[in-house]
Amino acid sequence: MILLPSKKDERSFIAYLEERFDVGHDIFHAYRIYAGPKGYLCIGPRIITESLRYRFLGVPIARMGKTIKPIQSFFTIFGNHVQKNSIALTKDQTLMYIQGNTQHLTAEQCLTVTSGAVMLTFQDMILGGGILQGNELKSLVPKAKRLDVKYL
Amino acid sequence: MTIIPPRFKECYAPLVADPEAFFASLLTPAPKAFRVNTLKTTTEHVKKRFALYGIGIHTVPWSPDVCIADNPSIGSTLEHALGHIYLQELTSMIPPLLVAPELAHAQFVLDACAAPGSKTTQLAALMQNRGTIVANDIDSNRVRALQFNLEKSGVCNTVVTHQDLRTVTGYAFDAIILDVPCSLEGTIRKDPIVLSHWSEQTIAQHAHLQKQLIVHAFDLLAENGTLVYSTCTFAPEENEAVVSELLTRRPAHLVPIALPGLVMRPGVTSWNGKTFDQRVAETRRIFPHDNNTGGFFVAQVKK
Repeated sequence: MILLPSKKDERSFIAYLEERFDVGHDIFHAYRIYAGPKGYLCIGPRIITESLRYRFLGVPIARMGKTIKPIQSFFTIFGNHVQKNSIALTKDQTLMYIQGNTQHLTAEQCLTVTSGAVMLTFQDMILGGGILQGNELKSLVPKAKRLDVKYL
Repeated sequence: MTIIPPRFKECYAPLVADPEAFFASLLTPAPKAFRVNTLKTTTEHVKKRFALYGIGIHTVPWSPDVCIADNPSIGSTLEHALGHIYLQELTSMIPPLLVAPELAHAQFVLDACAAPGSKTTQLAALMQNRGTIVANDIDSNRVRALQFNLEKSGVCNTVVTHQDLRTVTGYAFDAIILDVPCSLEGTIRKDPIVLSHWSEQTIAQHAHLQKQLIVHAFDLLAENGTLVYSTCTFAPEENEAVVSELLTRRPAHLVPIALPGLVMRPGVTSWNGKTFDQRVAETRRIFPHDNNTGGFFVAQVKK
Protein backbone atom coordinates (compact mmCIF):
# COMPACT_ATOMS: atom_id res chain seq x y z
CA MET A 1 0.00 0.00 0.00
CA ILE A 2 1.26 3.43 -0.89
CA LEU A 3 1.68 5.73 2.10
CA LEU A 4 1.77 9.49 1.90
CA PRO A 5 3.10 11.75 4.68
CA SER A 6 0.68 13.94 6.59
CA LYS A 7 0.11 17.36 5.05
CA LYS A 8 1.63 18.85 8.20
CA ASP A 9 4.86 16.85 7.82
CA GLU A 10 5.12 17.68 4.15
CA ARG A 11 4.58 21.39 4.75
CA SER A 12 7.09 21.42 7.64
CA PHE A 13 9.68 19.72 5.50
CA ILE A 14 9.28 22.11 2.57
CA ALA A 15 9.33 25.11 4.93
CA TYR A 16 12.48 23.75 6.59
CA LEU A 17 14.26 23.41 3.26
CA GLU A 18 13.28 26.94 2.25
CA GLU A 19 14.44 28.39 5.55
CA ARG A 20 17.61 26.34 5.96
CA PHE A 21 18.86 26.06 2.37
CA ASP A 22 16.87 28.70 0.53
CA VAL A 23 15.59 26.15 -1.96
CA GLY A 24 12.37 26.83 -3.85
CA HIS A 25 9.22 25.01 -2.79
CA ASP A 26 8.87 23.61 -6.30
CA ILE A 27 12.05 21.48 -6.40
CA PHE A 28 10.00 18.32 -6.08
CA HIS A 29 7.44 19.28 -8.71
CA ALA A 30 8.34 16.35 -10.97
CA TYR A 31 8.07 13.89 -8.09
CA ARG A 32 5.88 12.96 -5.18
CA ILE A 33 6.76 12.75 -1.50
CA TYR A 34 5.97 9.41 0.13
CA ALA A 35 6.08 8.20 3.72
CA GLY A 36 8.74 5.55 4.15
CA PRO A 37 9.40 3.32 7.16
CA LYS A 38 10.77 4.68 10.47
CA GLY A 39 9.72 8.27 9.83
CA TYR A 40 11.59 8.65 6.55
CA LEU A 41 10.30 10.86 3.79
CA CYS A 42 11.00 9.47 0.33
CA ILE A 43 10.96 11.13 -3.04
CA GLY A 44 9.60 8.98 -5.83
CA PRO A 45 7.87 8.98 -9.19
CA ARG A 46 4.70 11.04 -9.48
CA ILE A 47 2.67 8.33 -11.18
CA ILE A 48 2.50 4.84 -9.75
CA THR A 49 -0.15 2.17 -9.70
CA GLU A 50 -1.96 1.90 -6.38
CA SER A 51 -1.94 -1.89 -6.49
CA LEU A 52 1.83 -2.10 -6.83
CA ARG A 53 3.41 -4.26 -4.13
CA TYR A 54 6.65 -2.42 -3.72
CA ARG A 55 9.73 -3.07 -1.62
CA PHE A 56 11.19 0.43 -1.92
CA LEU A 57 9.43 3.48 -3.26
CA GLY A 58 11.82 6.17 -4.51
CA VAL A 59 14.72 7.19 -2.27
CA PRO A 60 14.69 8.43 1.32
CA ILE A 61 15.74 12.09 1.59
CA ALA A 62 14.89 13.07 5.18
CA ARG A 63 13.83 11.73 8.53
CA MET A 64 11.02 13.33 10.47
CA GLY A 65 11.19 13.28 14.26
CA LYS A 66 11.50 15.92 16.91
CA THR A 67 13.60 17.72 14.35
CA ILE A 68 13.79 17.44 10.58
CA LYS A 69 16.94 15.67 9.39
CA PRO A 70 17.77 15.81 5.70
CA ILE A 71 19.90 12.80 4.79
CA GLN A 72 22.67 12.19 2.29
CA SER A 73 20.43 11.54 -0.74
CA PHE A 74 18.72 14.91 -0.39
CA PHE A 75 22.03 16.69 -0.89
CA THR A 76 23.39 14.42 -3.60
CA ILE A 77 20.17 14.62 -5.64
CA PHE A 78 18.89 18.13 -4.95
CA GLY A 79 22.09 19.83 -3.76
CA ASN A 80 22.35 21.98 -6.88
CA HIS A 81 19.29 23.90 -5.59
CA VAL A 82 20.92 24.74 -2.24
CA GLN A 83 21.64 28.46 -1.91
CA LYS A 84 22.97 28.75 1.64
CA ASN A 85 24.51 26.78 4.49
CA SER A 86 26.96 25.17 2.12
CA ILE A 87 30.66 24.71 2.90
CA ALA A 88 33.53 24.10 0.49
CA LEU A 89 35.98 21.53 1.86
CA THR A 90 39.67 21.21 1.13
CA LYS A 91 41.14 18.02 -0.35
CA ASP A 92 42.20 16.65 3.04
CA GLN A 93 38.85 17.54 4.59
CA THR A 94 37.07 15.83 1.70
CA LEU A 95 38.98 12.63 2.35
CA MET A 96 38.05 12.78 6.05
CA TYR A 97 34.44 13.47 5.15
CA ILE A 98 34.15 10.63 2.61
CA GLN A 99 35.52 8.20 5.19
CA GLY A 100 32.80 9.29 7.62
CA ASN A 101 35.08 11.02 10.12
CA THR A 102 34.13 13.93 12.34
CA GLN A 103 36.48 16.89 11.93
CA HIS A 104 36.98 20.50 12.84
CA LEU A 105 36.69 23.15 10.16
CA THR A 106 38.41 26.52 10.17
CA ALA A 107 36.59 29.53 11.60
CA GLU A 108 36.69 31.10 8.15
CA GLN A 109 34.82 28.16 6.61
CA CYS A 110 32.06 28.52 9.20
CA LEU A 111 31.62 32.29 8.84
CA THR A 112 28.63 32.23 6.53
CA VAL A 113 26.87 29.15 7.91
CA THR A 114 24.89 28.38 11.03
CA SER A 115 24.91 25.25 13.16
CA GLY A 116 22.71 22.42 11.88
CA ALA A 117 22.55 20.52 8.60
CA VAL A 118 24.95 21.77 5.94
CA MET A 119 25.87 20.81 2.42
CA LEU A 120 29.50 20.01 1.58
CA THR A 121 31.24 20.58 -1.70
CA PHE A 122 34.71 19.94 -3.09
CA GLN A 123 35.72 22.12 -6.01
CA ASP A 124 32.61 22.01 -8.22
CA MET A 125 31.24 18.72 -6.88
CA ILE A 126 28.53 18.15 -4.31
CA LEU A 127 29.79 15.68 -1.72
CA GLY A 128 26.68 15.38 0.43
CA GLY A 129 25.55 16.58 3.82
CA GLY A 130 26.86 16.97 7.33
CA ILE A 131 25.89 18.28 10.73
CA LEU A 132 27.78 21.34 11.94
CA GLN A 133 28.01 22.20 15.64
CA GLY A 134 30.23 25.22 16.16
CA ASN A 135 33.09 24.31 13.87
CA GLU A 136 32.77 20.54 14.35
CA LEU A 137 31.50 18.73 11.28
CA LYS A 138 29.91 15.29 11.44
CA SER A 139 29.73 13.40 8.15
CA LEU A 140 26.38 12.11 6.91
CA VAL A 141 28.02 9.61 4.54
CA PRO A 142 26.41 6.24 5.36
CA LYS A 143 28.81 3.46 6.41
CA ALA A 144 28.15 1.43 3.27
CA LYS A 145 29.14 4.36 1.07
CA ARG A 146 32.44 5.13 2.82
CA LEU A 147 34.95 4.14 0.20
CA ASP A 148 38.70 4.24 0.15
CA VAL A 149 39.27 7.12 -2.24
CA LYS A 150 42.76 7.42 -3.71
CA TYR A 151 42.08 9.85 -6.55
CA LEU A 152 40.50 13.24 -5.86
CA MET B 1 45.36 -20.64 -15.42
CA THR B 2 42.00 -20.79 -17.16
CA ILE B 3 41.38 -23.77 -19.40
CA ILE B 4 38.41 -23.89 -21.72
CA PRO B 5 36.71 -27.32 -21.50
CA PRO B 6 36.97 -29.31 -24.76
CA ARG B 7 33.19 -29.78 -24.83
CA PHE B 8 32.69 -26.01 -24.63
CA LYS B 9 35.01 -25.56 -27.60
CA GLU B 10 33.28 -28.32 -29.52
CA CYS B 11 29.91 -26.70 -28.84
CA TYR B 12 30.76 -23.16 -29.85
CA ALA B 13 33.38 -23.43 -32.58
CA PRO B 14 30.60 -23.67 -35.23
CA LEU B 15 29.04 -20.47 -33.87
CA VAL B 16 31.83 -18.14 -34.95
CA ALA B 17 33.83 -17.54 -38.12
CA ASP B 18 37.15 -17.38 -36.27
CA PRO B 19 37.05 -19.88 -33.39
CA GLU B 20 40.71 -19.38 -32.45
CA ALA B 21 40.31 -15.63 -31.94
CA PHE B 22 37.05 -16.24 -30.10
CA PHE B 23 38.48 -18.74 -27.61
CA ALA B 24 41.69 -16.72 -27.17
CA SER B 25 39.66 -13.61 -26.29
CA LEU B 26 37.87 -15.52 -23.51
CA LEU B 27 41.20 -16.02 -21.77
CA THR B 28 42.05 -12.34 -21.51
CA PRO B 29 40.51 -9.92 -19.01
CA ALA B 30 37.93 -7.49 -20.37
CA PRO B 31 38.75 -3.76 -20.32
CA LYS B 32 37.66 -1.67 -17.35
CA ALA B 33 34.59 0.17 -18.51
CA PHE B 34 32.22 2.63 -16.92
CA ARG B 35 29.25 4.77 -17.75
CA VAL B 36 29.08 8.44 -16.88
CA ASN B 37 26.02 9.06 -14.72
CA THR B 38 24.46 12.01 -16.51
CA LEU B 39 22.06 12.56 -13.62
CA LYS B 40 25.04 13.91 -11.69
CA THR B 41 27.72 15.05 -14.09
CA THR B 42 28.86 15.17 -17.70
CA THR B 43 31.36 13.13 -19.67
CA GLU B 44 33.43 16.27 -20.30
CA HIS B 45 33.69 16.91 -16.57
CA VAL B 46 34.74 13.33 -15.87
CA LYS B 47 37.34 13.48 -18.65
CA LYS B 48 38.86 16.62 -17.13
CA ARG B 49 38.97 15.11 -13.65
CA PHE B 50 40.50 11.84 -14.82
CA ALA B 51 43.11 13.76 -16.81
CA LEU B 52 44.13 15.42 -13.51
CA TYR B 53 44.52 11.96 -11.96
CA GLY B 54 46.60 10.77 -14.89
CA ILE B 55 43.98 8.13 -15.78
CA GLY B 56 43.46 7.88 -19.51
CA ILE B 57 39.92 7.26 -20.73
CA HIS B 58 38.27 7.15 -24.10
CA THR B 59 34.64 6.98 -25.12
CA VAL B 60 33.33 4.17 -27.30
CA PRO B 61 32.02 5.03 -30.77
CA TRP B 62 28.49 3.85 -29.99
CA SER B 63 27.72 6.06 -26.97
CA PRO B 64 29.16 9.40 -25.81
CA ASP B 65 28.73 8.52 -22.13
CA VAL B 66 30.38 5.09 -22.16
CA CYS B 67 34.10 5.04 -21.42
CA ILE B 68 37.02 2.64 -21.17
CA ALA B 69 39.81 3.39 -18.71
CA ASP B 70 43.46 2.50 -19.09
CA ASN B 71 43.80 2.14 -15.31
CA PRO B 72 41.90 -0.49 -13.33
CA SER B 73 41.86 1.76 -10.22
CA ILE B 74 38.86 3.80 -11.34
CA GLY B 75 36.95 2.26 -8.43
CA SER B 76 39.15 4.36 -6.12
CA THR B 77 38.19 7.71 -7.62
CA LEU B 78 36.05 10.34 -5.94
CA GLU B 79 33.77 10.17 -8.97
CA HIS B 80 33.03 6.51 -8.24
CA ALA B 81 32.45 7.19 -4.55
CA LEU B 82 29.98 9.96 -5.42
CA GLY B 83 28.09 7.95 -8.03
CA HIS B 84 29.26 10.15 -10.90
CA ILE B 85 30.41 7.04 -12.74
CA TYR B 86 28.99 3.51 -12.74
CA LEU B 87 31.35 0.60 -13.33
CA GLN B 88 29.59 -1.64 -15.83
CA GLU B 89 30.51 -4.18 -18.46
CA LEU B 90 30.30 -2.61 -21.91
CA THR B 91 27.74 -4.97 -23.38
CA SER B 92 25.47 -4.61 -20.38
CA MET B 93 24.90 -0.99 -21.45
CA ILE B 94 23.41 -1.99 -24.79
CA PRO B 95 19.74 -2.78 -23.91
CA PRO B 96 18.88 0.67 -22.45
CA LEU B 97 20.59 2.38 -25.38
CA LEU B 98 18.38 0.48 -27.82
CA VAL B 99 15.21 1.86 -26.23
CA ALA B 100 16.62 5.37 -25.68
CA PRO B 101 14.31 6.94 -28.33
CA GLU B 102 11.24 5.36 -26.70
CA LEU B 103 12.38 6.45 -23.23
CA ALA B 104 12.10 10.12 -24.19
CA HIS B 105 8.30 9.74 -24.11
CA ALA B 106 7.87 6.67 -21.91
CA GLN B 107 5.70 6.99 -18.83
CA PHE B 108 6.00 3.47 -17.49
CA VAL B 109 9.10 1.33 -17.89
CA LEU B 110 9.91 -2.10 -16.44
CA ASP B 111 13.35 -3.47 -15.70
CA ALA B 112 12.20 -7.01 -15.12
CA CYS B 113 15.34 -8.62 -13.65
CA ALA B 114 16.89 -5.45 -12.35
CA ALA B 115 19.44 -6.22 -9.62
CA PRO B 116 22.04 -4.93 -9.04
CA GLY B 117 20.75 -1.92 -10.94
CA SER B 118 23.21 -1.27 -13.77
CA LYS B 119 20.50 -1.03 -16.38
CA THR B 120 17.94 0.62 -14.08
CA THR B 121 20.32 3.46 -13.27
CA GLN B 122 21.13 3.80 -16.96
CA LEU B 123 17.42 3.89 -17.85
CA ALA B 124 16.86 6.58 -15.21
CA ALA B 125 19.70 8.64 -16.66
CA LEU B 126 18.29 8.30 -20.18
CA MET B 127 14.88 9.36 -18.82
CA GLN B 128 16.50 12.19 -16.83
CA ASN B 129 14.72 10.89 -13.71
CA ARG B 130 11.27 11.47 -15.27
CA GLY B 131 8.44 8.97 -15.78
CA THR B 132 8.26 5.82 -13.69
CA ILE B 133 10.58 2.82 -13.68
CA VAL B 134 9.51 -0.38 -11.96
CA ALA B 135 12.71 -2.22 -11.06
CA ASN B 136 11.89 -5.81 -10.18
CA ASP B 137 14.03 -8.68 -9.03
CA ILE B 138 13.17 -12.05 -7.57
CA ASP B 139 16.26 -12.24 -5.34
CA SER B 140 15.71 -10.58 -1.99
CA ASN B 141 19.38 -9.95 -1.20
CA ARG B 142 20.07 -8.53 -4.63
CA VAL B 143 17.12 -6.15 -4.23
CA ARG B 144 19.05 -4.45 -1.40
CA ALA B 145 22.04 -3.98 -3.68
CA LEU B 146 19.68 -2.57 -6.29
CA GLN B 147 18.26 0.03 -3.90
CA PHE B 148 21.78 0.92 -2.74
CA ASN B 149 22.86 1.63 -6.31
CA LEU B 150 19.72 3.64 -7.05
CA GLU B 151 20.40 5.88 -4.06
CA LYS B 152 24.07 6.22 -4.90
CA SER B 153 23.24 7.14 -8.49
CA GLY B 154 20.63 9.73 -7.50
CA VAL B 155 17.74 7.86 -9.10
CA CYS B 156 14.35 8.91 -7.78
CA ASN B 157 11.87 7.85 -10.46
CA THR B 158 11.95 4.20 -9.47
CA VAL B 159 9.82 1.76 -7.56
CA VAL B 160 11.58 -1.42 -6.48
CA THR B 161 9.52 -4.61 -6.42
CA HIS B 162 10.47 -8.11 -5.39
CA GLN B 163 8.34 -10.58 -7.30
CA ASP B 164 8.56 -13.54 -9.60
CA LEU B 165 7.95 -11.83 -12.94
CA ARG B 166 5.55 -14.62 -13.92
CA THR B 167 3.16 -13.48 -11.17
CA VAL B 168 3.09 -9.82 -12.25
CA THR B 169 -0.14 -8.97 -14.06
CA GLY B 170 -2.35 -6.03 -14.91
CA TYR B 171 0.24 -3.56 -16.18
CA ALA B 172 0.99 -2.02 -19.55
CA PHE B 173 4.58 -0.86 -19.88
CA ASP B 174 5.86 1.37 -22.66
CA ALA B 175 9.24 -0.34 -22.54
CA ILE B 176 10.58 -3.46 -20.84
CA ILE B 177 14.17 -4.53 -20.33
CA LEU B 178 14.34 -8.29 -19.80
CA ASP B 179 17.93 -9.21 -19.03
CA VAL B 180 17.27 -12.74 -17.90
CA PRO B 181 19.21 -15.06 -15.59
CA CYS B 182 21.42 -17.12 -17.87
CA SER B 183 24.43 -19.44 -17.98
CA LEU B 184 26.79 -16.40 -18.03
CA GLU B 185 29.14 -17.72 -20.70
CA GLY B 186 29.71 -14.18 -21.93
CA THR B 187 31.17 -13.16 -18.56
CA ILE B 188 34.05 -15.65 -18.62
CA ARG B 189 36.56 -12.83 -19.20
CA LYS B 190 35.43 -11.18 -15.98
CA ASP B 191 34.90 -14.34 -13.97
CA PRO B 192 36.57 -17.48 -15.40
CA ILE B 193 34.99 -19.61 -12.65
CA VAL B 194 31.88 -19.63 -14.85
CA LEU B 195 33.63 -22.29 -16.93
CA SER B 196 33.87 -24.68 -14.00
CA HIS B 197 30.08 -24.55 -13.54
CA TRP B 198 29.33 -24.81 -17.24
CA SER B 199 27.07 -27.63 -18.36
CA GLU B 200 24.52 -28.25 -21.08
CA GLN B 201 22.02 -29.24 -18.40
CA THR B 202 22.24 -25.76 -16.84
CA ILE B 203 21.65 -24.22 -20.24
CA ALA B 204 18.50 -26.30 -20.70
CA GLN B 205 17.20 -25.28 -17.26
CA HIS B 206 17.78 -21.59 -17.99
CA ALA B 207 16.16 -21.87 -21.41
CA HIS B 208 13.00 -23.35 -19.90
CA LEU B 209 12.60 -20.39 -17.52
CA GLN B 210 13.60 -17.83 -20.14
CA LYS B 211 10.83 -18.96 -22.49
CA GLN B 212 8.26 -18.42 -19.74
CA LEU B 213 9.72 -15.02 -18.86
CA ILE B 214 9.82 -13.64 -22.39
CA VAL B 215 6.21 -14.57 -23.15
CA HIS B 216 5.02 -13.12 -19.85
CA ALA B 217 7.04 -9.94 -20.32
CA PHE B 218 5.56 -9.51 -23.80
CA ASP B 219 2.08 -9.74 -22.28
CA LEU B 220 3.00 -6.86 -19.95
CA LEU B 221 3.76 -4.53 -22.87
CA ALA B 222 1.43 -1.71 -23.88
CA GLU B 223 0.34 -1.57 -27.53
CA ASN B 224 3.37 -0.38 -29.57
CA GLY B 225 5.52 -1.02 -26.52
CA THR B 226 9.11 -2.26 -26.89
CA LEU B 227 10.72 -5.24 -25.20
CA VAL B 228 14.47 -5.79 -25.17
CA TYR B 229 15.45 -9.36 -24.37
CA SER B 230 19.09 -9.96 -23.53
CA THR B 231 21.50 -12.50 -22.08
CA CYS B 232 25.22 -12.56 -21.46
CA THR B 233 25.61 -16.03 -22.88
CA PHE B 234 26.41 -17.68 -26.19
CA ALA B 235 24.07 -20.67 -26.08
CA PRO B 236 21.48 -20.41 -28.88
CA GLU B 237 19.13 -22.42 -26.64
CA GLU B 238 18.99 -19.37 -24.33
CA ASN B 239 18.94 -16.81 -27.13
CA GLU B 240 17.46 -17.37 -30.57
CA ALA B 241 15.45 -20.40 -29.41
CA VAL B 242 13.80 -18.28 -26.72
CA VAL B 243 12.97 -15.46 -29.12
CA SER B 244 11.71 -18.00 -31.64
CA GLU B 245 9.37 -19.38 -28.99
CA LEU B 246 7.94 -15.89 -28.43
CA LEU B 247 7.45 -15.34 -32.17
CA THR B 248 5.57 -18.63 -32.37
CA ARG B 249 3.31 -17.94 -29.43
CA ARG B 250 2.64 -14.20 -29.71
CA PRO B 251 2.16 -11.59 -32.49
CA ALA B 252 5.56 -10.05 -31.83
CA HIS B 253 7.69 -8.16 -34.34
CA LEU B 254 11.46 -8.02 -34.26
CA VAL B 255 13.06 -4.61 -34.71
CA PRO B 256 16.37 -4.36 -36.61
CA ILE B 257 19.21 -3.50 -34.23
CA ALA B 258 22.27 -1.33 -34.87
CA LEU B 259 24.63 0.72 -32.78
CA PRO B 260 27.08 2.57 -35.02
CA GLY B 261 30.64 1.46 -34.33
CA LEU B 262 29.70 -1.76 -32.55
CA VAL B 263 30.24 -4.98 -34.48
CA MET B 264 27.20 -7.24 -34.06
CA ARG B 265 26.46 -10.54 -35.75
CA PRO B 266 23.04 -11.77 -36.86
CA GLY B 267 21.27 -14.36 -34.76
CA VAL B 268 21.57 -17.97 -35.89
CA THR B 269 18.47 -19.48 -37.51
CA SER B 270 19.28 -23.10 -36.75
CA TRP B 271 21.28 -24.93 -34.11
CA ASN B 272 22.00 -28.55 -33.29
CA GLY B 273 19.50 -29.77 -35.88
CA LYS B 274 16.73 -27.42 -34.76
CA THR B 275 15.42 -24.69 -37.02
CA PHE B 276 14.12 -21.47 -35.51
CA ASP B 277 11.69 -18.89 -36.82
CA GLN B 278 13.78 -17.31 -39.60
CA ARG B 279 13.07 -13.82 -38.29
CA VAL B 280 15.52 -14.43 -35.43
CA ALA B 281 18.24 -13.42 -37.89
CA GLU B 282 17.24 -9.87 -36.82
CA THR B 283 18.52 -10.54 -33.30
CA ARG B 284 22.13 -9.68 -32.57
CA ARG B 285 25.15 -11.43 -31.05
CA ILE B 286 28.13 -9.56 -29.66
CA PHE B 287 31.27 -11.68 -29.54
CA PRO B 288 34.23 -10.78 -27.30
CA HIS B 289 36.82 -10.86 -30.09
CA ASP B 290 34.84 -8.45 -32.29
CA ASN B 291 34.81 -5.45 -29.94
CA ASN B 292 36.99 -6.46 -26.97
CA THR B 293 33.93 -6.80 -24.72
CA GLY B 294 32.08 -9.55 -22.92
CA GLY B 295 29.73 -11.80 -24.88
CA PHE B 296 26.12 -10.75 -25.29
CA PHE B 297 22.89 -11.44 -27.10
CA VAL B 298 20.09 -8.96 -27.68
CA ALA B 299 16.69 -8.91 -29.37
CA GLN B 300 14.34 -5.95 -29.68
CA VAL B 301 10.67 -6.78 -29.96
CA LYS B 302 7.69 -4.57 -30.69
CA LYS B 303 4.09 -5.35 -29.78
